[in-house]
Amino acid sequence: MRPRIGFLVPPPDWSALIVGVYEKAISLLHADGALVSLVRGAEDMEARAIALDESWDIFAWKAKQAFEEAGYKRQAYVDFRLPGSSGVNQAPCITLRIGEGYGGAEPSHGAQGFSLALDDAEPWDTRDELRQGCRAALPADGGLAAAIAASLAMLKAFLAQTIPESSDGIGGGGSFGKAFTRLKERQDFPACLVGFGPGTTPAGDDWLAGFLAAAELGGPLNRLAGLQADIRQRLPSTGAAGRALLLGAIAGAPPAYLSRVRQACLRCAADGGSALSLAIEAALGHGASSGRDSLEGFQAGLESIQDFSPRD
Amino acid sequence: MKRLTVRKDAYYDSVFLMLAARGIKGMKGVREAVVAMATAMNVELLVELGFNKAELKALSPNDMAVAIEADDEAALEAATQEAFDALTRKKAAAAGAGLVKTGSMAAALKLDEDANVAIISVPGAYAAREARKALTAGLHVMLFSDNVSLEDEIALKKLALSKGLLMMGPDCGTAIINGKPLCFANVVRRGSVGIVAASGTGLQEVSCLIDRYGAGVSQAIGTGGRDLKNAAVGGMTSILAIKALSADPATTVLAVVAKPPAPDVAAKLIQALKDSGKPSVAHFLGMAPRPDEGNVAFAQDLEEAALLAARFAGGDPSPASARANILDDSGNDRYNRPRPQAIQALASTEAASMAPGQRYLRGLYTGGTLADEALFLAQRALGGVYSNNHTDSAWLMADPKLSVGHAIVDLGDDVFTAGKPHPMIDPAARAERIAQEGRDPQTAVILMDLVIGYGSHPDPAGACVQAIREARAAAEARGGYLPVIASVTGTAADPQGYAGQVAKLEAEGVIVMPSNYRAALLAIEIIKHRSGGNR
Amino acid sequence: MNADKVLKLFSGELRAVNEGLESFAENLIQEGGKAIHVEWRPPAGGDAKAIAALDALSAGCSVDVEAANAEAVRRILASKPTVVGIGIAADVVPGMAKDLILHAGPPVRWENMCGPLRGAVIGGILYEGLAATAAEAEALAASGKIRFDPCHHHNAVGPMAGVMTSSMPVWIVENKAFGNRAYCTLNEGLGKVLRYGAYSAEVIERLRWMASELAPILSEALALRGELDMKTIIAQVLQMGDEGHNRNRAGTSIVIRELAPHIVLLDRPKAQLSKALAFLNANDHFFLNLTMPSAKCTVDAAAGIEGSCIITTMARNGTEFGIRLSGLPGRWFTGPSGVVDGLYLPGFGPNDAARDIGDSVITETSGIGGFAMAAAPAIVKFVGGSPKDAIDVTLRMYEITAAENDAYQIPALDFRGTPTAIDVRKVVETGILPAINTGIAHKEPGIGMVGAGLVKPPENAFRDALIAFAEKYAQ
Repeated sequence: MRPRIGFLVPPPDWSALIVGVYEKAISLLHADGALVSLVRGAEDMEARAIALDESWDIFAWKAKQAFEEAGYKRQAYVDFRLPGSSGVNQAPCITLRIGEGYGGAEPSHGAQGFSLALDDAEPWDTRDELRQGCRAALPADGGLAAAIAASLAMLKAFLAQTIPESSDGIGGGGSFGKAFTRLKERQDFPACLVGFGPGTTPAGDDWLAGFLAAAELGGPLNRLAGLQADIRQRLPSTGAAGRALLLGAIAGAPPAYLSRVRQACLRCAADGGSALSLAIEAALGHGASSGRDSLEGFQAGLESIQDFSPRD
Repeated sequence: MKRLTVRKDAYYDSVFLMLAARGIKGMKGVREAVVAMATAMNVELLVELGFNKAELKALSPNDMAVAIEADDEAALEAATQEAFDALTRKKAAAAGAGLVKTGSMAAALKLDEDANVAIISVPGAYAAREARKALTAGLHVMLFSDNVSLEDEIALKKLALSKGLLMMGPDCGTAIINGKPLCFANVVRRGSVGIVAASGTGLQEVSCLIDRYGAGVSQAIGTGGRDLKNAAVGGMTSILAIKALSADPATTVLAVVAKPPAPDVAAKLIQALKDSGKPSVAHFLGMAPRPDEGNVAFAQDLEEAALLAARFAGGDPSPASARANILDDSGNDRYNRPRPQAIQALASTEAASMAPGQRYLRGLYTGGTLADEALFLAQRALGGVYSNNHTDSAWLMADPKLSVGHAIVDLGDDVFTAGKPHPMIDPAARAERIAQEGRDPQTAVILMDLVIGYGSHPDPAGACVQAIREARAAAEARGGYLPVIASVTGTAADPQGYAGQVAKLEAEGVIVMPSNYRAALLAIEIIKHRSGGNR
Repeated sequence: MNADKVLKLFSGELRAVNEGLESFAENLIQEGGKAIHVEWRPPAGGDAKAIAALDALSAGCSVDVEAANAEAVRRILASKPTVVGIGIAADVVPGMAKDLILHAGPPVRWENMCGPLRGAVIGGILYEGLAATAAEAEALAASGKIRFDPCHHHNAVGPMAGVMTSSMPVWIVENKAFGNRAYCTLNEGLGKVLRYGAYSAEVIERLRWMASELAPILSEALALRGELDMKTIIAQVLQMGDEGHNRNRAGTSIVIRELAPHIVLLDRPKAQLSKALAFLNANDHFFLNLTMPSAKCTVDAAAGIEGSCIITTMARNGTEFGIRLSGLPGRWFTGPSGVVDGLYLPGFGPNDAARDIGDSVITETSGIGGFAMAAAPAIVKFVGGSPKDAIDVTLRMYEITAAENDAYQIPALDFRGTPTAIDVRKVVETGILPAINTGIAHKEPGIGMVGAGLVKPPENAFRDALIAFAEKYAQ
């Protein structure tokens, strides 16, 4: 597999602080206020992420050295630039850099200056996938409406049968759950969910990403454009992780795991839901509660299409 | 009662945020716990829940807020602590990940069919059963546990002997096998001295001094305190160990460190050393001086035992030549031991500014054998020294927690450790005791040990400097001066590092002597100066 | 005195087994040594009588226990559970009668039954038409005119409440290697169902539909298809992410695949056939009621071997958890049913939970279910934890079992066989209790499943069994 660069990753040159090195992602705080993530493979992609593929292990290891040995002062950076200034088609390069003011010993393992050329990186854009998927689903028996009805039934059954990991989430019985019930009554629902709820990416942002991913199946309705604009306006009131997620979602490109659910929905009537059940199961395993939160949003998104009668 | 704690610009893994919230919610006295980013919507919710509005409004969406409501201050504090502990726990868990764990010895043996030693430190009541299992499976055993009955010990050692296996312990705290420290042991250079020791800190002191004198240790085998002392156990482990070391080509020198053995056992032991034909040194703590016999040299203290062993390892073929080559205390010393004159001079300087009421030696020990060594020396030089280790009941401390007269206290005694960690692991009790002695205007000198190496506290010097400072300040406030004399049992390769520990003590004005023996000598000299001065 | 072994230690590499303080092992590893740490617990939780029994058994027995256990293992591994058909309980289940109600777990009297079991009994009476109302049914149940007996006493098993009455259709599973059979009702789906103690009209109606329409369709389709080799199918589903107890998605799918081509050939209205297929498709756990009798006839083959301390039954009735040993036939050893440590469906919590209930733990007894957790990473979501935890659960079970299965294998463990045949001595010695995956029933009858999780069986049942075993066999 070739490295992939999400279509919302800001073009080079830029430099961003490493703010977290996790099992499956490295979080970079870009100057535009939203995170850019470095991830392993296509399954963890999102619009503001770069998938490193087989170079992930080594880069993540070096990044961990840089990040931890900088003593959590977060003075380790990743530079994303085009080497030299000659060619237009040159591959960009990511480089680890320990910033000024770093007091400790020189990090071992050669983290400083460790560089990776993203040769033949592919652009990653799920919007095409959606268009193709919709087109493919149209002639299938029953068409889009049948697919959505079948998906909705399956998703509902799944969510009713699986148990949330925590009752503190927005779907649970705790403070966030109660507040969520109240928010549903508000005029500006669901846009008011921006930045709401537990998690480094607030659960409300996950919910919105799911909602948008599903609602888009209903075609380019003006109603969605309004919601997208509303969310964009509210981006300053969530954190950098939420911003990155929502930027992708309002551009029509949800993270890979949600795209997979969406694609499986389109095939649901045709394949009896076998792809969808796998996609949902995988999505439920995403993050702490992100998977479940976004699937609940997804369900609401599918319901909203049914309410508005889909385009076919 | 509510509290808000904030981490600025924090990006924790969401899974850990969730685990943290779940963890603290289950804690006693916690009513509500929210762990979330301080976004506008979440701030709104927290304000509704009654958390401080002004504080919350100042936060940015990239800040993580831990909001806890609890019944009382203690619960609040505990929950906040737990929240942040939980968030950092992942790293700690990863550090322990290299260790393979199983639920039973049988399963462990299935995983490693070539396992050859069982280290057992389970509660005493079960220890014999586990040791029997290990021996039956053909493993040598290091039994750290104490409170094992004498019958069990004899039965285990007989079983071990019948199978040709080493049964180290019960109550064996220290061993070095193939250069690897077991339980409480130091990282000692590998070399040619094979040690058999019935005492833990005695073995540590001797092996560290051998290292410092430029030699090394091939094997150091602990036997447990009863092996030689009790006639019924009859030195079963010690004798087997000596037999093995005698035959071991990597071992050219034998050393034995123990309390005085039962008479029959002593004879057997010395015969075994003679039979080895290898230059040997034996040190029986507190025993009267005894002339060397053939290849066996008898050392008077732990330092001398180490010196003789190091000389043998360096090529001295006999006790006589080794002794001749150890420059006497009167000469300059290549082993960096201060001469008696130097100790005298130091003592007189130290004693000079003391207040008249300062009269007594107070030894505060974490190592039992080291305490014993100091006790024997002080008893011989000063007479009338109290100790909780004293064999003479007339001089047994009435209350080990309160020093009267000259006192050498073994803080590893059961009196102190019931329900608490041993002071080598947690030096807090000793620090308290140092401060306590400092408050006593009769205290003239504090003498102490500092045992580092595996098993010991990560920074025992650091753990007592505050108390030393207080004790010295208290003496000065009374118009006196309080010398603190210490020795550090350890090597440069120990995790705590020898030099760093010495430096920390010296920075507090502690006089660090190169061995426990020298430290005790200096303390005794100071007391002698006091008595002389009073006269 | 021979010092050779000590010399061998000196000349080789130190490889330690550390039991007690973990730091001793960590230190050794830090110094470049080799150590495995044993997470030691007092044997038998420190129970002196149980320790004495363990010691007595290891000192010597009147029968060769190892040989007896080896025979038990041989029979379990040689078993070939096969679905041969569907019958009506009264016709096929030994001893079944109109006034007899079978239930899950060890024996229990009406007055001691938990909520869900009582509800299921009421539903069973209504279903049989022995009473017209719930109140009448309750009075009848309490009157003594209805007999109660464990499924296990009739070669049968039942999930959750496990209620079986005489006119219910049952799966017939035959162990082709030994000729013994086991029986289990058909799975009713999720939500308001008899096995969770629901007895409303819709529950009874569904049961009647299952008897009148579903069972005949499946029975006819099975006749066309021919017998189903359950051993092969269970081996297959473990490769597909099921563990055979709490996740049955793959198994249910396979059954549908196997039966669908024959169902569509049946000479019945299309709507009926479609309804039957839709019912199977909507119920992930349909396969459980096939796995359970398969496991039952497998371990039954190993029951009653003189001198064997392999556990051949584990079962719970919501009040008590009970086990039986191969070498002590006919004797139950019981302790209180545990509270499931689990996660709950939205809107429910631990206060809603009934105590542990059901015969489904027969799956663990036969070496799948919780013992095969590592095969089903997806299930980790149901029981809390990470895929690593699932692997750890399975690895721990090897410490209390006598064998590794030759047919049931776990991909994540490099196709190692599942831990099979629980040795009660190992359970007591190590204190490692069998890992059991289970659903959580609401404590009130008729509400249904409210969560899922792991349950700890009561340790005393295992100790009592061991002590009784030692009384009979130790010399």
